[in-house]
Amino acid sequence: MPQDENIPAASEPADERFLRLFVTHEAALRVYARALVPTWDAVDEVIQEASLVIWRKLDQLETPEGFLPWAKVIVRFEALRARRNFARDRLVFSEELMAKLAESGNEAEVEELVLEKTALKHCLGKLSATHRELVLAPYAGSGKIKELAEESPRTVNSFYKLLGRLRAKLQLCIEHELAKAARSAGRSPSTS
Amino acid sequence: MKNPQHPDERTSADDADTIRFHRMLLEDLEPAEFQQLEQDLLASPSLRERFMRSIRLDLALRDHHLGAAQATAAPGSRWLQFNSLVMAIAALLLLAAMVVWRTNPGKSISPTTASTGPTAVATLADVRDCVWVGSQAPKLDGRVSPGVIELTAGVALLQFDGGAKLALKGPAKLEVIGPKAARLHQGNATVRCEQGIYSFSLLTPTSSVVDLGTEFGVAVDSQGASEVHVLDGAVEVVDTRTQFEPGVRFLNVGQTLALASNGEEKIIPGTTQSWIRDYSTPVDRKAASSPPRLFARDPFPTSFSQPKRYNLGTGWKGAWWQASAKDQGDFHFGPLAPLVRRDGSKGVAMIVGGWMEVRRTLKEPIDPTVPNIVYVGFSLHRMFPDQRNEGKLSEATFMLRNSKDPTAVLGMGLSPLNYWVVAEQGGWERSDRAETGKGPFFVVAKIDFNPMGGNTVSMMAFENSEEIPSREPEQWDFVTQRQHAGMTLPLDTVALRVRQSAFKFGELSIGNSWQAVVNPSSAEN
Repeated sequence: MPQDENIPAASEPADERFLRLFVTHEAALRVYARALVPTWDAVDEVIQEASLVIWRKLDQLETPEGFLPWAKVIVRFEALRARRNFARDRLVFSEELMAKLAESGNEAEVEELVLEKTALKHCLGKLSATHRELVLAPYAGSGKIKELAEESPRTVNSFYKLLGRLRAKLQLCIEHELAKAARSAGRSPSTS
Repeated sequence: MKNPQHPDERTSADDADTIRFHRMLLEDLEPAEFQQLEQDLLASPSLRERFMRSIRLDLALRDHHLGAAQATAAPGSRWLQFNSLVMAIAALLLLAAMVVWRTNPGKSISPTTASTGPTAVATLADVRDCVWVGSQAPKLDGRVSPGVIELTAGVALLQFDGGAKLALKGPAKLEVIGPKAARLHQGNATVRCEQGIYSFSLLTPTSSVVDLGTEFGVAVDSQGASEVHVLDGAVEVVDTRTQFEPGVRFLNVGQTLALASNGEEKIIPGTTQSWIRDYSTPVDRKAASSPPRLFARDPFPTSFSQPKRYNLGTGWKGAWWQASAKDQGDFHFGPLAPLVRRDGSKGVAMIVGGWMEVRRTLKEPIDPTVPNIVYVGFSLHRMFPDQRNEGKLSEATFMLRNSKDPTAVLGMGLSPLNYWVVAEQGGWERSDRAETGKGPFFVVAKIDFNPMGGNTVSMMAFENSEEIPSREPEQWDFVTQRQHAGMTLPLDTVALRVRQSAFKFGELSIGNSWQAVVNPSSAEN
């Protein structure tokens, strides 16, 4: 059986092994970390610290298949460590839920995420300029949504509701695009 | 469960969850809302999956924003420098992966399956007088990979790995796309999906019909015109020919949408099609044709004049007993007021109160190591159901367990927050919505023991005012989404466990069918 592209060969140098595994699963780890800490900036810090620990301890990993759950444990510990630095009024999930969330969202592989991002770009293009601005507003600074709300007759709360609806639509659109991509691949003449 | 999921309610609840997720990600939740979200996430694996999907979208949007802002970005932090290195290597590896994929484009998108050909995504679960196009007829119970299925006559039932069942009525041409998607090129198809937001999409030449936990039919004629009819629940129809935003339309149960081949659409007064709504398989039909049989039953005393004994009924070894001497509670017989018995008659219930578990041994243990479906029916009434505000609501669980190994247990019951719950050692799962009724309830549970794929439990609960159907309903109120772990030990004991306050338990039946436990007089012992 041909070797799986995601599974490194036993003789692969340690740093290449690390990079290959980390790159493959980085998105899943970042998604998981985002569930544990309250901002993307905090996610970046957690992932950075976790990646160093993963690098140092990689020889403890028995099989490549065990990388993601093992790395998630490290991310969880780093998130717990980082949480001590947050203000007490920041809302964070319990350790019990942190552990349960580690079992979810494991399907994000790198090539799927690339396809998703391509689909997202396409779907964002279908939104009106106003809606596109709203969907991207949370990443343009903490006050952007309030700023948009103040410029319109809507309330901030209604903006969040609209934002939720728009994101749900985006999710749907992305799934359609992925289905189309899968269909295109399946129709290729080389399937025979 | 008295609160069937009205389509509008379901949609708004799902939307509310999505909005909650994003408000949480934007740090906009109040502490109480955050705590409620945490409780809900703890209780529901499917909600956790959806939550993680929301984060994935959040990540993709953030990356998109960062990419757009890259040209004007300030010099990176330590992390950004590191990230750039990783991303550069990622790009190289990705390029390599894409090259591999491009050279094998027809086999699979996933490199993990690239060497093994297209992955099967569905099973041909039933064939009824099928005449297939082509020389090789698909086999019953055979696996179906992405590709085209064409029928000139008959009905084929596909069970998709994503959970949906699709009945295709010939003449028809269907393209299987994936575990959660198919395209109907021509003909008539009905789709049923028990649960899950956007859990199945059926594409037509001009649109995509997305189920929202529902049943719907789609028909496409030879000109490409189509009709969408909602048989149960609600669907979202997305016009794939027009702009994304204005093309989304929700249809509720009973509504029919006609879509012309040029994409024009209109609601029509009623469906012009007949729809296949029988999703049964040969195994289902065999089970349904078996005479109803009771494995065990305890009717409890039916009147106060009858001796109040704990060893009534059939299918048992001995009487009910207290599981542990350390239990702080009591069990005894008491009058039913309000009534528990589902026939409306007055009678006697077994009251279990405090922190207590009572058990009784089955004469015929249930073997969970072979595929088998077991039905359970019992009456249940929480005493003092209005204590919710005082935080004193009790919980009650019916359990099947092994007498020697305490970890071999499968339970179903009502939680302190009034959710229906299925529990096993190491995990539990609850209904999406809290029970709104106070009871008394007649609870029916269907346990599908599947030693290979894990056990699935379905539950329904009826109040006295509700009519219990004589036949098993197509759709249950609560079906576990998580596949509960396979068991290896015989389940030889029934346990009734109560935590805090008290519950009344009425007639209790275990049998091989809905009919056996709902209408025990019709069943063989």
